Amino acid sequence: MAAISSEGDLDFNQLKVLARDELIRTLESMPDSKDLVIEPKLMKILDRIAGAQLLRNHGASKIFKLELNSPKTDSGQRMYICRPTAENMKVIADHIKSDKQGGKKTSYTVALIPKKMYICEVIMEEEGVYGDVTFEECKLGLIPLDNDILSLELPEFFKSFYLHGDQSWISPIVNSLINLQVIFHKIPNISSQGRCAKMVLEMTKTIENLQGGVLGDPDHQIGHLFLIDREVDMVTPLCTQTTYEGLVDETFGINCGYCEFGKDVTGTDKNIKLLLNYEDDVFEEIRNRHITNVFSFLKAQAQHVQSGYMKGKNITQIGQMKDFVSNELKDLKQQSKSLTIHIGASEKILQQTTNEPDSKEHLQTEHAILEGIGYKDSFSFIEEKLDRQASASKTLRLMCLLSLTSNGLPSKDFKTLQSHFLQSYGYEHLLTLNNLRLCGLFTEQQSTEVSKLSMSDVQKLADKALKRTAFRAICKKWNLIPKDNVQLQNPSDMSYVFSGVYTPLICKLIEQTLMKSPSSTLEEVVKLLPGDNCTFTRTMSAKGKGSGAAKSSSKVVLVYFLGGCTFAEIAALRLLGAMKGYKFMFATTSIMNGNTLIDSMIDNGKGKS
Amino acid sequence: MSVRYSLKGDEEDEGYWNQKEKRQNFFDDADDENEIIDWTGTRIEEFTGSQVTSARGTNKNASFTKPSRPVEIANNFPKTGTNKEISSQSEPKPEQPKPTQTSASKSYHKKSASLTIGTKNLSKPTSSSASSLESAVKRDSKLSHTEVSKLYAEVTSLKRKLQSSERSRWDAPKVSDTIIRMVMGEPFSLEMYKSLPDKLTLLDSAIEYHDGNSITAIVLFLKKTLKNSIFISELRKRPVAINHYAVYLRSMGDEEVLASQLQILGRKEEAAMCRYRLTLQESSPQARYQSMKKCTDSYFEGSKILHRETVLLREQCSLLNKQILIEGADSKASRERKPPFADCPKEAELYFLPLITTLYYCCKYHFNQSQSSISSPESLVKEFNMSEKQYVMTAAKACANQRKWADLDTLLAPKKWIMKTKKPTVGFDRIVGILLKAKAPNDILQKYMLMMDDTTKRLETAKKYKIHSVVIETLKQMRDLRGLQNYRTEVTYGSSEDIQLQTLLKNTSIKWKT
Repeated sequence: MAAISSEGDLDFNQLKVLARDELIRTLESMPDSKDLVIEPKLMKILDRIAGAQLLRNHGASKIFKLELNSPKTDSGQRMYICRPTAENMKVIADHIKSDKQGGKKTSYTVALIPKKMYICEVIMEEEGVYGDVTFEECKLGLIPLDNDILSLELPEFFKSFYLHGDQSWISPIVNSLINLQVIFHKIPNISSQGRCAKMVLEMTKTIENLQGGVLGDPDHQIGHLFLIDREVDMVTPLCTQTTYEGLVDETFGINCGYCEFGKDVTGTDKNIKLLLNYEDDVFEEIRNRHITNVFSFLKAQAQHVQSGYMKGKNITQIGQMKDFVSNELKDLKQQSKSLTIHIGASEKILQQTTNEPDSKEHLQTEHAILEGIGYKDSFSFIEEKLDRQASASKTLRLMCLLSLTSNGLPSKDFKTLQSHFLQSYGYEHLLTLNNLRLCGLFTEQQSTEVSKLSMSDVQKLADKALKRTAFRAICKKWNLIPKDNVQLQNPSDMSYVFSGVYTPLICKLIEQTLMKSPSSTLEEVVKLLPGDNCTFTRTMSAKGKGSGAAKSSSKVVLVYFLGGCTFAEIAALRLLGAMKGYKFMFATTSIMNGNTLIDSMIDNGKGKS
Repeated sequence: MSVRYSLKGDEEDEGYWNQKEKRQNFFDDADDENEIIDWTGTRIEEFTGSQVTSARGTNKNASFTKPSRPVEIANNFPKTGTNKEISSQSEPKPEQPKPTQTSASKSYHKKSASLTIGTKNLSKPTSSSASSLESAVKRDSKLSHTEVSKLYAEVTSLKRKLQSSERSRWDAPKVSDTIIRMVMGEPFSLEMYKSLPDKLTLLDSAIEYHDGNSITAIVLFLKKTLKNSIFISELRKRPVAINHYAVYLRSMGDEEVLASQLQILGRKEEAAMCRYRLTLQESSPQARYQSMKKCTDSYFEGSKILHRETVLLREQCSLLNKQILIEGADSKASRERKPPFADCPKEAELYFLPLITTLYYCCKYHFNQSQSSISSPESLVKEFNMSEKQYVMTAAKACANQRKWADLDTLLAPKKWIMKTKKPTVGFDRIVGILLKAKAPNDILQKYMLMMDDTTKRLETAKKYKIHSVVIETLKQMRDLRGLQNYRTEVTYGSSEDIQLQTLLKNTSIKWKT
């Protein structure tokens, strides 16, 4: 399989082709023309791999969004494309029942992405429509979002696994991993950290054993796999990212690679939806830059485009003009369109930090919390922010950060912030705070009466205490909080993604593992991290042994984030790769940031829990 | 990706069966292929029929470790499956490895093939040295005693297998096989498992495989087929199973059932939070008040772990109660156009708003009422033990938004503090922030800006919002001559600020910083 492109990168296009084939197969499983009803959340994913034309070429006559009401159509065949959730099944069952009442005769196929869950059949059976439905699995796993990012696009995974302990999505993750290794061959070196990672690893082992392929493959195109739980480092997603891409995500929201910019950014009277990836030259150049280093580039680029147009004006000969129009003008137009948006976007981002009166203070407080200085000031800043009823999710981010870095708040402080939060935003947010507590994001330091404990309890407590004071200890051991000023313009330290204040822990863990730091220090830190750590190398299979020793592919590293990753972490690892000669590829359950994380935890009793 | 895998599905499936076939072959005991090799390359154990399961997972010692997935199950399968599986199989499903007639007949074919190969193998040692075909045939037609007995043994074993496969049509397949089918997403049936140990082994192995989907399926099967008390007591021993049961109940949307089941399963705190969540669905204030009170009394009160939550719920109850009282009086006053609603009728209802918003409301309409009145801000502050900061900031916002500058003055004058402290608890930078948000007129801004202690910050804010007199005054306080000189460009020539600036520059009594 020639999955390596000329630059030695893995070719994710192959994944895209396979995903498209799978979609086509699913569509063709219901021959002839049919109506499609698609779950709104999946629209963007399908857009990325197929587009409406492809759907139409394979029998889709009309396309609807999955809504409470059955689509008004007379077609005799209908295919639903959705996630295998109970909610979706109930809606579909209602559609079918109301169609029946209306005397419509329709045959239904329910295509479930990425697999059929047991609960789907249960609900259809209970609703009495099992016989009317044909189930189909559409095994869309990892979607290539960029030339180095793959995503399952399952933003709900964090909440369902870490809050509810739901392990239903472990198997789709395992399948995605196995499929990746079918294309890029078995990965010889594997490291994992965290409880979800452990489960994924064990299930992968089970299935590989069943399929009879546990040995390493000398033709491997990925040298090292990291499976890492989001839970290992919750500090990173809560911090304000300071790279351009990270800030665009936090300000405008990037969804499946698409970002919608409002009128204030585009400078026109309509919103523009832009696909942000490596194909956009301007974006590719600035995405990993620190925000303070973006404008200068955009300015220079704008001048470049300007002079390009000027050149066109000065052309006198027809032949030259033809050349200019057919070659350069198109590029210039494309560039100036993308420039306009990126200039608008970075302006908006900078405006936000200057216009909002306390945004500067907010950032300063965030940095003080990370550095572990001025606890009292940070605390009263948060308290005032609560009392002023400032943005709830931003304040919650600070609250959680304070709690995480001090390994739980002292009882009195915890109670103060808790009641001020509830008083400002409503007592029903007790549910929100409860969720945050269960995920370990906002907790109270436990005060226990030692005299009443048994020996084993003491041991447990000691272990807990060790993990609890962990954050500061890890920071110290790995120098996560740089003492010197970090260069933001020409970064040489991963912490630049947070303005030189904090190095994302997971990135450091990967660096230390790859650089083979003395195992004693690695062990010391690793035992402070949540969940188990596991590192091993597969034995190579006998065939073709020795053919590919020390190939370039051993420098290709796949990092699989379980529970989501931030653009800051991606940028940090891209920098690490550039400095140390590694090529990092990313797979994740979804791209996340502090806002999406906090929003997923918010529950005020309305809607589903 | 997936497609590749699924396209290969049938082929691989076949290979899969073949492999099993080989593994069950009598003569292949010492074959290398039967070794199980761990990822790290250590050879775990010699492969014998009884250890198939270990190749599939880590649970080598599990009690259900027996020859797994014999061919019979495949032949058997469509019959043992429930009706739904048959119906679903009639549809085209290329991605699912189907143990249909074709694959079954293939495996039989393989079986007979293996027998013939076996015979050939037996003749092999001699054939190589044979000089002529005739003599070879002669020699080969005579089987040695051991060869014959081996063949007999195989025949007996196959007979036995055939019998058992006929018998096992209605038997439950091995637990380990079913679990593998479930994990691999193949059709399965649980109906045959009638004994309790079997059911529990099913559940335990699903948990061991970490497959949530299988765990849910088995939990629901246990729920359906076990007496409730047994179901509950077995589930209580397995927290992971409870998690999945709770996820299932939650997704079905019946929180009442979820709460009561969690309660029985020993997750009292979780159940209590569920009940609390339910009370929030009440849309009428009175009904919500009643159900919230009841919920607190019966599920929160007395629990040590939920002590804090109990306190907070009580607070929420009294807030709602207070809102009901105030709203009752005020909506009447508003209808009758009585003060404070004489000129402006009430806008929105007060119910369910946060405490701080309620305080804002009271500051807006009942600012100067006596403390004894239920709707006065003071009574609210007292009842809920709110901090001075909370009060001052909310009241300042209310005054600023309504342009009640005199009230703001009294509020910020030291004597008006509720608790006696000398230093104001709220910095004037915050007050200025509130005023700026309320778009207060310049003279008011000026007045409070000058009260900001931090001169650098004051200068920065004043410059940003172009409050010239404050900038000039601050520069004077900082004795920054250069700053003042530079600022002349910002000020309109001949304006009062310009005059102020000029006088300062001419003033020789000021000792400027050098």
